[in-house]
Amino acid sequence: MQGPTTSTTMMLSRQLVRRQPITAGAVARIVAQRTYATPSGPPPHGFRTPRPKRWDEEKESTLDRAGRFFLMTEMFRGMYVALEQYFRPPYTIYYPFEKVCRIHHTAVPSIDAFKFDNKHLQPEPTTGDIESRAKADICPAQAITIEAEERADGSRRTTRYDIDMTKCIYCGFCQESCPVDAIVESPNAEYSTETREELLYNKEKLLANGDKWEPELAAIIKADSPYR
Amino acid sequence: MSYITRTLTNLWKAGLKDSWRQMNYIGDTKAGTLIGSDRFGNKYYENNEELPLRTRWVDYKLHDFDASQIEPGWHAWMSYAVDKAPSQDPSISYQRRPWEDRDAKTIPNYTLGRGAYTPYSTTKSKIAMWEPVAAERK
Repeated sequence: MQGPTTSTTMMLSRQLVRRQPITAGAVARIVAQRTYATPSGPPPHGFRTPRPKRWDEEKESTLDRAGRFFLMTEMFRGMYVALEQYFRPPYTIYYPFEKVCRIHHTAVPSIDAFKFDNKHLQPEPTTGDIESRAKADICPAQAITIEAEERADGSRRTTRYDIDMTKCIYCGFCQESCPVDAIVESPNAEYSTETREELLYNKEKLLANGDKWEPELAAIIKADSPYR
Repeated sequence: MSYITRTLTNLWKAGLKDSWRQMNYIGDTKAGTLIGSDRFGNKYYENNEELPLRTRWVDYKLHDFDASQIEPGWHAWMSYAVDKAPSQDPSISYQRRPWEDRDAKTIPNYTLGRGAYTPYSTTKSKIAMWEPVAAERK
């Protein structure tokens, strides 16, 4: 193994040393055509905005300025900009008739998740439902509360499945963490309520949501499946 | 209802009767092709010459319209989540699940009303309340 080579021929072969120094003309040409400032040479033309003109430097005559002031030309120019909008198609989305929302909102556990026998996921039958615990623990806002009990046949059954929608930040980690799609974000956007109490979803409410949105969720998951 | 020529063109295309209805409900005249209708009777239209995100719209059946009356499969189409409408794509069209009512109703958001959802605990209480029992006087 050779040590570091510093011979000029080696560095020349590696293009580390300029074979010929750049001529002053080339530097001038580069400085003239660049659009950015460098420590070498003055900044290019128009690089800095000019200093605003003071009252005693303006070329406009007093009559011109008085005419502009009294004829309100700026006001009419502003009004013309507003008038132009009448001749443009409206961008307003007429909400209950047209919708924009492509983001998926409320988290709902789908009904299949409760039918799903997740006994094989249990390391010990005495500990809580592992995937449910995973969801409750992954929630950064701590919005999910899950309690489980054992069925007569030994499988786990979720007794409490509360999602506090006032805490939920719609990060979707719970959906990502669940291997069986037991919790998914639903496309519902119409869940605003008058009281906070109505946003504390329990298991029955979530199951009702799941019943409603399951066909659409299944279609979305199916459409998404090639990219998962 | 800006863009007067557009409003008038759509009025001409949709006809006076439909335009009157649209002005009373949507507040804008819209002309497009009827893509289909869901089982609640809402009609869905599309016109790809409209501006983006205004190309698909719904004509509600009920006077007291609400966004929750849109059927879930059509909701995906309305929200531009899928390309094909449920009338063209059987995988998102409505199929009655065995436990569902035959005349399934929409679930409106009855917030602050008598039908509003109230949270309750789905578990048994973990504490037993002390119930005072007065001993018999002797």
